[in-house]
Amino acid sequence: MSCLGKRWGAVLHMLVLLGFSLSVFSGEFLVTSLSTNLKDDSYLMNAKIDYRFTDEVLEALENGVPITLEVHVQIRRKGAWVWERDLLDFRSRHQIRYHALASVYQVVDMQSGDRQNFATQMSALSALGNITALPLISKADLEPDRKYILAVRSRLDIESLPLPLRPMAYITPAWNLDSEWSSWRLQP
Amino acid sequence: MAPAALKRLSNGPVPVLILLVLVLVTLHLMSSAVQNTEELSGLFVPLLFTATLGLLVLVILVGINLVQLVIRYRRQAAGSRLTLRMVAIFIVLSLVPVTVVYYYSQQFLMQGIDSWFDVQIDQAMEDALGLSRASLDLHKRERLKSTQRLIEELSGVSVAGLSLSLQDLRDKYEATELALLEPSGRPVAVSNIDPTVLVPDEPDSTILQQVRIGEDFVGLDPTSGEDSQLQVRVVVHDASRSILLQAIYPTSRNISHLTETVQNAYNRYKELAFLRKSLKQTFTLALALVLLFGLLSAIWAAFFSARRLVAPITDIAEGTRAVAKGDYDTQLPIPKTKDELGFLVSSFNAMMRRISQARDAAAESQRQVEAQRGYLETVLGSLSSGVMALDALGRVRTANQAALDILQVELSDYLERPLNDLAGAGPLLSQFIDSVRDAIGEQTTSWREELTLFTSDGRRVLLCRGTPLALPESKASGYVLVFDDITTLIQAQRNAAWGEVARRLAHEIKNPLTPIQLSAERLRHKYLNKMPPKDAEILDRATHTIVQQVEAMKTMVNAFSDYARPPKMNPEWLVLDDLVQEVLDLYRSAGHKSLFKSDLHSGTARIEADPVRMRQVIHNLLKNAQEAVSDLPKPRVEISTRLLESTDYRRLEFRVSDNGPGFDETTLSHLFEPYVTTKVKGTGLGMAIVKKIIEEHGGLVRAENRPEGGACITLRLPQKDSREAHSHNPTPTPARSKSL
Repeated sequence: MSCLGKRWGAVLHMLVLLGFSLSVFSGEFLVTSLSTNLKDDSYLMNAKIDYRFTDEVLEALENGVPITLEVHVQIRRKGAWVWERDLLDFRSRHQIRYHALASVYQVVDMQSGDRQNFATQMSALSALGNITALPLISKADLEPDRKYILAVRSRLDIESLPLPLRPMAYITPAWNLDSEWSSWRLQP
Repeated sequence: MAPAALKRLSNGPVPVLILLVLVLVTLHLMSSAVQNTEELSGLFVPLLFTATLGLLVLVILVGINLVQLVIRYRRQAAGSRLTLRMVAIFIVLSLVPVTVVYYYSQQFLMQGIDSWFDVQIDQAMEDALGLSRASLDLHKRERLKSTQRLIEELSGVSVAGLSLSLQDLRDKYEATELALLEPSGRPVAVSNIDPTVLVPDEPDSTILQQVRIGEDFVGLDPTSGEDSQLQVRVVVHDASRSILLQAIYPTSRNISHLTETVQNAYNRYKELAFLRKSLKQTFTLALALVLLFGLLSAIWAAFFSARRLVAPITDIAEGTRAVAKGDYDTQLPIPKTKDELGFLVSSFNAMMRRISQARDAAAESQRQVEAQRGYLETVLGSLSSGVMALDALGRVRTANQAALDILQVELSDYLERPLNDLAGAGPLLSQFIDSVRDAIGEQTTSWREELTLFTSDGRRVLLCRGTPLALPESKASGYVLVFDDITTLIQAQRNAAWGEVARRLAHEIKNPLTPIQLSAERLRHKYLNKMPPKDAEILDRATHTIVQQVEAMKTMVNAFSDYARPPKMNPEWLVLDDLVQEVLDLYRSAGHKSLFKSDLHSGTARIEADPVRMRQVIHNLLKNAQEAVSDLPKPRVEISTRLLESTDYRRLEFRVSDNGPGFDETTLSHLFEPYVTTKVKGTGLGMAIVKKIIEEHGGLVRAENRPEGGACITLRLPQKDSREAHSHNPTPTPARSKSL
């Protein structure tokens, strides 16, 4: 998917969210815990995300529609100006799909292509939401006397949905699933 | 590019056409994206957003046009109704086919999409999946039994022993991997077909939990990677040793391939079946956008076309309205297109130019007619003869100022009225109409007649000429009357004749009078003393009579001589009141103090007159009045002066009135002619001399009977103020100083 498409999608996403500012449909994803630990001069992130799909999304999943989830991770200097670059800005994308023949839920790491099979949907989502020891940044990249903020959020990627589903997904609150930004203070 | 060109471009159809092309291109790209073109599928939403934005701009444009049209329609602006009608027709013409196409397109699409999904296909897919599952279930059950046997065969207590046993058993049962796990899932020993794999493929917590409670697990496990294969995962619990055994068996490549094909087809079918509704909505949305685009484009095109078509018609309507208001200089802008409307506008402009030229020519003709009319009026106004024009019906069309003066009537009040209706306008006009009516009615050729009219001022004689007038706008002829007041002329001729008679009479009579008188006196002187008293008395009486009568005749002859004498004026500036007072004092000193009552109000107003002759005039008038009232018990003579002022003239009026018997009708009409007198001893020249002197001074004299009885003589002499008098005559001698 092109970068231009993503930006337009984001803009439209924002507009749709403004238009449908029904909080009951937003925040269905919840970052329940966030922490870091230093190991071998590298910061590792541990997080737990509670993915609560709406009925529409669950129905789509059961009918073989792959659902892509994106975890957006950012590290910025605390009090940074708007124009300052982020020290870290990456998106971890995983796809969950149902394998009807094997009656398993497959979770695919979109970056590495690794695939895991889960007997139940709950175990698959639980595994998806359990982020353990995700390497973030080297300690050397951080200034010792500065404070930094690690921010994490998760969302359902509408643009990865099949094309016929996308227009309605943009204007349907049930498909606009994301979490608030959760932050963690980093101080070397 | 110049700002004007930019503005023209921005106001023209080009921006909207660009917008329409953009929206059209966007819709086309959306159509390609819907067909799942890889490059465009990601742009579907931005394209949708762009198309929606473009359509929104079109909606606003159409809305603005609509509001403007409604406002113009309510104001009943020119062309608004036609524009509305054309727009309505365009919209209806475009809406109907577009709606039909939309409806059937949607129907075809919906039916097409629905046709993809059939109950039989649905069932076939389910059956295929069931068949695959059944086939795999057999395989799974075999693998479960094998695993259950395998765990019974498993020997060894230590980890190393278990590992060796696992390796043997894995080879024996053709497993990919065998792993011994603690109930918590922690690996104890593992044997994999790939010796480099030291960590087993851990089952998830759900499987562990199921196995821990004593229920063996067997399931299919699709592998990752390009060489995707279906594995059978079996997890059994050895309760005696409190250990779990996980065995992973491969399936044959053929089964893996077939089941993957079935899985993919089933998955694709289920996904499509699920997306059917969304697919319909997406197509409906795209179609709706196309419909909206077509409709809005048609409406905008309708507005644009209607404006362009109606603009020349509106211009013509405005131009016609301007013509109705009298503006003939309007020129309409000619449309760029060379069509019938352009021809119509060109014709309108040509017509307007011709009307304008005709108007200018008519105005010029009118101006010339007015000038000619003004010239004729000036000529008629300057004529001393009265001119009156009648139309064929005898109505007065025009009359000049001289006619009004002569007839003493304001004829403007009677213009366009029949001549017969003017009988009540005044006695003079009434007599005039009576005199000319017959001639106008009967004479068809020019005629000439002398008319005598009677007024309170005396007899008026008019010389009237009538001529039939051929009127250009009527077959019947009109009439023009030209008349002159020749009263004064006749009077002057008569006066001249009388003067000649008097002069000859005085000459012929005066010559023998002196010898007669001298002879009588000589006879008296020679024989009176010589004759006896009785004869002497007779001679004395006879000679006395002769001398007396001769004196009387001399007086009469002198009077004739005075009347016939040519004027010899010695004008001076006189204060009239002083002059009148001076003559009155003579009469009062002669014992007639109570007889005259003076009322002099002309102040210091002056006249230019011969004092001797003016004294003679005043004396004659006072003497006549005195003699007229001499037999009355209460004689009374009133003398008054006053200054008459108006915008046209300033005159001094001198009036002598008495309470005597007045004049009879015959005397009044000939009063100022010689030998007209009411007295036994009068010469009949007094009033004639008065009239002659006054007219010599540029004045007027009028005699009339007073309503309360008695006669009244009025003199009016022109008066000028001192400065005017000085400017006309730089060396006048003040009358006051001389007379005083």
